[in-house]
Amino acid sequence: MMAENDDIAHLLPLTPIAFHILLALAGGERHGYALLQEIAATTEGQFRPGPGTLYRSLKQLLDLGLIEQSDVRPDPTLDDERRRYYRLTARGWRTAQREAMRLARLVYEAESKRLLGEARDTGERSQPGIGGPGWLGHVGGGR
Amino acid sequence: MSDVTRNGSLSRVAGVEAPHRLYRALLLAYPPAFRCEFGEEMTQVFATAYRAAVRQGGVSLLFRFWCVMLLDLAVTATAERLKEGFHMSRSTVVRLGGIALLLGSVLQIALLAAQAAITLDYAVAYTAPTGSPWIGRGEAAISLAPALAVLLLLGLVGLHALGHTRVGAAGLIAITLIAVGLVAQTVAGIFASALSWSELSACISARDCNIYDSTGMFRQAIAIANNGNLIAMVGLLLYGIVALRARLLPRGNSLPLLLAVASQLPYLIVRISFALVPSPDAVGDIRIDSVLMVGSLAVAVVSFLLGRAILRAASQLPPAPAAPASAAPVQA
Repeated sequence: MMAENDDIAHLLPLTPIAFHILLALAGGERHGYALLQEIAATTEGQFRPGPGTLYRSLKQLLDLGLIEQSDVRPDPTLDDERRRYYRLTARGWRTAQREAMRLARLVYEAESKRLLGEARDTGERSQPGIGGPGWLGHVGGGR
Repeated sequence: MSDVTRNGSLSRVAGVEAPHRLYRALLLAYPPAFRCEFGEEMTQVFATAYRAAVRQGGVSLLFRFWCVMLLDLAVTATAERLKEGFHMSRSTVVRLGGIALLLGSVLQIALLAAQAAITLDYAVAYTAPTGSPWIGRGEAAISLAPALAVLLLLGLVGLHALGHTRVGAAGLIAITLIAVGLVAQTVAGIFASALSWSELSACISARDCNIYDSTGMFRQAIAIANNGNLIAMVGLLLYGIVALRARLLPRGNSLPLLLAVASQLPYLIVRISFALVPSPDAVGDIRIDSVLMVGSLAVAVVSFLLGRAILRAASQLPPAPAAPASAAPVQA
């Protein structure tokens, strides 16, 4: 288990595109265009990678064994059969988890320094619920 | 309903065929293994995204869409090529050169339109008390000039790859002259455009401010751009002659090279006369601009014909080595 953790640790921090792909695939199998749509939706349209960026990252994640191609098709009658679907491997899931926890600790640190509070005070947009005391208290202990 | 047809024939989707084919052709920039593994999916994603952009409508949105796609392709293809050790088959280099020249001819026409707008600006600015309503817009469009320089250089690299052993040292010298000239012309031209754009924007009318130069830098930048242009023209002329003598293009396809040489001669004469006898006023500049625009139009036509001829020649070259069997395309 320790060796596996070390194996994952050297992959972190993930690039934003890699984490967004893993994050999208954590919700289930997706094809390329669905991944782009989900990334755009998650980032409220601020991050819209092109096909080259997406498939270059998919290739790297495939090579690292973090994702794999899926033969399961959600509904073959409604889809182009040449589309390939991707899904997380167990290793990919753990890597995404570790990266999410790393980011959560950063946000916790930002919160403890009142950065999120200041953003709220100055009227900048923040997610509902962010900034409340101890809202990230449950993360960081899973490592 | 999926944006992609069920029988998988994206090219039959209305309005997507030409962009789809162009994007597929541009995928040649990626290494063969990458292209075989992901090329089909990438064109699908592109076509679906393109249809979505068309549905949202607007020329500016489509223009931005293409800019993002081309930038994404240029950056990731370069990164993949660097990772793989930048091995590109000769036929791929030649084909890319042909495509670049075809794209370059289209961009050249667009830049000509911008140049015409600038000339019109000057004409209107000197006759109308309120100045031209288009003032400054042509200069902004000229910012696309670096893309044209890159496309022309890629085209020349493709042409050179077609027969570098036959054109020898003279061909290499000519290519170097063209590259140096294009870079100097582009950088100085952009600088001059930015200067004139900032000055023109501040003017209500040409009569109440000096649109030609308040610092003297504009004329210097224009001189560098003109000299760069001259060097590139000399290089192009030299390369045309060398390539013609070496029969670089297949039989029956030498017309573009002949045209390239023929169109550069009057262009060069105008350039040299412009350098020797500076124009006394704006009207002189407008006259010279008009002549030069005809020269640029000739370059656009030559680029198109040359691009087409290079693509024809590329089809006669031995094909690139096949990709590994493991990198098979999408299963049917």
